Amino acid sequence: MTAATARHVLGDSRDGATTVSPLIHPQHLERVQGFVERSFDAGDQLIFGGTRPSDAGLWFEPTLIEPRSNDAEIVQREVFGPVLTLQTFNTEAQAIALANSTPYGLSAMVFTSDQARADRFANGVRAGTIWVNCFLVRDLTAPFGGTGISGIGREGGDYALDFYSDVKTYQVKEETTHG
Amino acid sequence: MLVGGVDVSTSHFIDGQRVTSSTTFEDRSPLDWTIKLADVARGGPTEAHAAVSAAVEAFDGWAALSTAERQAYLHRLAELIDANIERLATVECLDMAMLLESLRLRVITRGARNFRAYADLAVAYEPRRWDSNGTHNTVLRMPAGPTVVITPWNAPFMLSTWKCAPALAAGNTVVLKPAEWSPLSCSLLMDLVAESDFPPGVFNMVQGFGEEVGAALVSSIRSSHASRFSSTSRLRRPRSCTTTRGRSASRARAYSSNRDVVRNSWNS
Repeated sequence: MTAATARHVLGDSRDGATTVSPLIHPQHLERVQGFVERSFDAGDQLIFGGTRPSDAGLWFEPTLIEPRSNDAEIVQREVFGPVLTLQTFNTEAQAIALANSTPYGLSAMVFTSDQARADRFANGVRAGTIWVNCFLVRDLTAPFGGTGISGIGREGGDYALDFYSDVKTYQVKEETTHG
Repeated sequence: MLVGGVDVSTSHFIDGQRVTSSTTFEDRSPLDWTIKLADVARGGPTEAHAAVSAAVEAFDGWAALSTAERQAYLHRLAELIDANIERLATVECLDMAMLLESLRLRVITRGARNFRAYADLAVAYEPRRWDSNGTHNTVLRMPAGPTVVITPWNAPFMLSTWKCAPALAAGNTVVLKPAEWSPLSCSLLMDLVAESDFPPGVFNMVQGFGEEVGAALVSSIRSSHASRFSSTSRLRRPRSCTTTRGRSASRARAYSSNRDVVRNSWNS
């Protein structure tokens, strides 16, 4: 994980070699940095990154953190920046419990060569989308949305068209005798 | 205003016209924060009211079209998006710093796919029909009404098209408010809407801050629906599809404390 994190190239988004863009706004950079600094101060282990490469731009290093516990803020809150937490587990049940332990539930990924395990994970994890051995593969007709505080309802395909419609039940009596 | 060599309007788009405001807000590039890209029209209650009024006026005509007729407009817009990928990608990259290659290859054309997919799905819709208790029954879809769509900065063009396409395909008129941190690609989209000859007022856009024009849009569309109800006995419940990121989250919660339906989805 550390080696993969270290391979990223921070740079100008117009440069083909760049893999990590700057953050959108100084206020957002400050927010992401705040999460990482509080995590560090609270005793989580910083494995990689954690700083701004220069004061001039809005870049933040890809950051890998091993939290001291599952209750750590960096685990439980949505950072929305280039920050990943790393937690280990011994059993499938533990992994599912960890995945379900936050108030969020937009999507989840599992990487496995065992179809039965993938199915068990998909059934056990509360999230709007489960991707197995992939990420962000989208079919525009499939429902998309989150559980918990990751969203209300679903979009995608007929789900979106129903959202923007009111449905009407129309009933006509057979062999109407008057009117 | 030239942004990366592309001419981008900094105005709103209301009732088929470009409309300015008396004040503006600065839009800077995350690639170099010392570079100001544009001073963008800063909408408030006046612009919100004008945009919602335009959407309300245009609603009956747009809703009366068949799904196939609306499909023709939405396909034309999709074709224009695909014909303008370079310009849209250039501006979006400077405005919110997504990787240019991703924008060119995938993200901008996804906007075109959004319009095609929802236009086609609306045409393909087959109402449920069945018989029971001596009646022939059908479930019909009615357009919900003029719609306010507030979109986030994390994929401004893709998410705005993803939200607006089904609203339009379902027969609703739309007022779009893009995020104030990334306002420019949606302004280019409005140029393409004009070029597609949409009837005025069907697809509008206002620029500005959530606390100002966003809040005014939600309140304006709500009262316009309420007045229609009292004067014509036709209730069209307002739909506000609010998507948020980062600091906008508190606004979404403020909206959702209101009585009417506000959907808050976090991504797409």
